[in-house]
This record gives sequence, C-alpha cells and structure tokens, in this order.
Amino acid sequence: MRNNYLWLLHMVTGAIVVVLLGIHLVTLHPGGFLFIASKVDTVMGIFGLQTASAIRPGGGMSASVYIALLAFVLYHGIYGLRGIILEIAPSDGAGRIVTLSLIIIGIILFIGGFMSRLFFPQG
Amino acid sequence: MRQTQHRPNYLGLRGWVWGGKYGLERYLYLLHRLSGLWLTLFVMMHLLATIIFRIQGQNVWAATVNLFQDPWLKVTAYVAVVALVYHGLNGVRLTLQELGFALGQPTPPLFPYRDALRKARAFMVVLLVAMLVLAFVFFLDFFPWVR
Repeated sequence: MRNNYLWLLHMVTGAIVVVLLGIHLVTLHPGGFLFIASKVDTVMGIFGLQTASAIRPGGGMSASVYIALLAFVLYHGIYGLRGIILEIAPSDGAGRIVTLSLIIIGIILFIGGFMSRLFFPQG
Repeated sequence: MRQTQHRPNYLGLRGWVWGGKYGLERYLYLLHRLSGLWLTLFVMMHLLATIIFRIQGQNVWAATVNLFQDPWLKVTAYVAVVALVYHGLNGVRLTLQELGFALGQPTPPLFPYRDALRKARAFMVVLLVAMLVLAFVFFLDFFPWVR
C-alpha cells in the first residue's frame, strides 16, 4: 500500500515539475532561454499581467518557486532512479541500501540547494 | 513428463532495447527512461554547480553565469530541454492513461491488437506537435538574430 502512495506522489510531483520547470526555464535560467520570458509577458500583457517578470529573481515568488521545484524535482528524479536501480539490484538487502543511499543524497542536495538559495541569493 | 527448469522472465538492461517483438509504446517507454536518467543526472550536476559557485560570492557566480554561454554547455542544456519536453509530455500521456483517460474505446483483445497509441491517435498527434513546437522554440535560442 505504501508503494502505491509513493507511486501516486511520483505522478503528482511529475505534473507539478512540468509546470515549475517550465517557469524555471522561462524566467530563472541565466541568459539561456530568457528570451521566452519577454514573449510570455507580451502575450499576458494583453490581459494586463506581467507573469514572467513577476517570478524572476528579485520578484516575490522566485525563492518559493525555486524551493518547491527543488523538493518536487528531487523526489521525482530520485524515486524514478530508485525504480530503475531496484530492477537490477541483486537482492532485497542491496535494494534497501540503494534506497537509503538515494534518500541521503536527496536530503543533502535539498539542504544544499535550500541553504544556497536562502543565504546566497545571487540571482 | 519432461521437467523444464524455471527461468525468471528477467532480461536485465538488454531487455530495455530488445526482448522480442516490441511495439511503439515500448520504445516510447525506453526513451522515457533514458530521458529521465539524463534529466536526473543533469539536475544533480546543475544543482551541485549552483550550490558550489553560488556560495563563493557574487563575482564567482557572475563568472559562472557567463560560462553558461559556452556553446558546448548550451548544447548540453538544449539536449536536457529536449529531454524535458519529451519526458514531460510523454509523462502527461502516461499519467492520463494510468488514470484511465486517453485509452480509446475498449475492444475485444483480438489479433492484430490495437494499443492505446492507435486508439487515441488524435491525442498522440497533439502531443507530438506540441513536442516539436517546443523543441523548435528552444532551438531558436541558438540563433540570436531570430529573437
């Protein structure tokens, strides 16, 4: 039953990551894909909205979007990676070690990303 | 009676590519896995680089941001974006099908079998067009004069 909930969470986080990573690419990516942001603003400007600009670094939403993206993308990626590795794991014991290692890696990356964003907000 | 030894249906990594007569959905599944693995690796590297360079201060971070303009890094990022577009849209298809949508009308399981891709062809075409348009839009980034 627990695996069903984890799988459901994997699907839900996948849907959320599609949206948040789209926002990240449009607004936060330094220099690379930023030209899309102005087009989004142009289209949404018809309705009096500046959506892409509002969530750029320095805007009110950027830190929250970043941290939410960090949590969801790490869960989605690590759960998917775990599923693939468990298929070729030689034993249940090895599978448990893989699961534990991936959880630790995920927690370290989340804390690292969270701290760097909060305490070193360079943009 | 002749006894046959039990062999688990387990092909390991080779089974990803070939385990008999695979249909199109099986190859979409393979591509979904490969793009997912690439994205996970890319996100981890991206995250580590961001953490390491960000905490070294504004100047180092600014230099790192400039480094992202390197053509090779841009190609790597572009491959990641294409993988993301594919993985995201195929993920939407898989999620909808998992929840019982976009499977087409139920039919008797008679040969030749029709999978969900052929039953819901219009839906697949919409996803494919969206994928191509998004890949093209991101590819424009390589041509500054188009912006």
